Amino acid sequence: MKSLVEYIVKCIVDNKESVEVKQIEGERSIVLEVKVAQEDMGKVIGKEGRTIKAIRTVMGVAATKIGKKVMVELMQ
Amino acid sequence: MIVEQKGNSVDEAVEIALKKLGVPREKVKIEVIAEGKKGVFGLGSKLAIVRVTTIEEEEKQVRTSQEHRPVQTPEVSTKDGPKEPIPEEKSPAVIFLQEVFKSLGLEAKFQASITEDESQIIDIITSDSALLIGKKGKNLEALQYLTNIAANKNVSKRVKVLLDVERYRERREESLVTLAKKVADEVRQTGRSVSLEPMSAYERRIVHLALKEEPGIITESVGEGEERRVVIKMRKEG
Repeated sequence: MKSLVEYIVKCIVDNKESVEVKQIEGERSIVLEVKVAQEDMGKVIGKEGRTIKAIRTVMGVAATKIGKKVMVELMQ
Repeated sequence: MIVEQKGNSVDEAVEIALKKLGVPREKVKIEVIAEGKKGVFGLGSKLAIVRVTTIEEEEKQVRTSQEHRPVQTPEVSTKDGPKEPIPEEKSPAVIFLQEVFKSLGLEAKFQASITEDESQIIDIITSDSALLIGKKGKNLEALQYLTNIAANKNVSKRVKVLLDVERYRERREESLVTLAKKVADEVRQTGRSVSLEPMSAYERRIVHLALKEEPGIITESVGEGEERRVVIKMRKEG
């Protein structure tokens, strides 16, 4: 989970070194807290939130595979 | 080089593809993807589709797989003759997809080809295509969106990447055209405008094109962003 979202986000941002992902695992769900450089926030969110939405959808596929819910949070 | 070509017949499609590649027929491998149908008075006709691979490309792929043998070091092959093609010349899009699928724990094979308008179509063969496609193609759409961003990061020439799973795109296209024609009939009969459900730009384009020649009606896209949809309405007289 963590490695996947990290890989995708790194493909989108300019500042790869600033990408940090924290995985908080619950019984039925996983929360992924994603931190990126301030100037990359817009890229990860995308026009009208399209990019972050697409990331969440793809992570949803990964979650279905393991039978859990996954939440991707973009941290300030 | 691999070219996928449509045509009125298999022969015609092959001919166009050969012209594009600029190689004689004996230097290519031809796969027929769809035979195509003649139809009656242009009704029910289907285009033939062929995939034409230059034999050079095939050999390259064979060579690439041989190069994975540990005995062969790259220095040996570069010493004599012209430079060998680098095995890792895969498109950035395919590299991205491979990485994503590895993390997803989904087995998948990717087959990339170039279309007439130079976009790249990547056909994904996987064990779990239903999950990959998602409801109304939602998952596939999201993955395609991200693949386009990843593939166009730090490149000078933008490339459009389309993803397909087991010809899902083609089937969806067919059902969209059927729907569009049905709704167009309805509009003509009732005189009332009908708005379709929100669609992606690609899907809206299919609907617009399907109804371009339909008499008596016009199509129009309305709404913003995710809510953008096609409205089919009567053409005003005069």
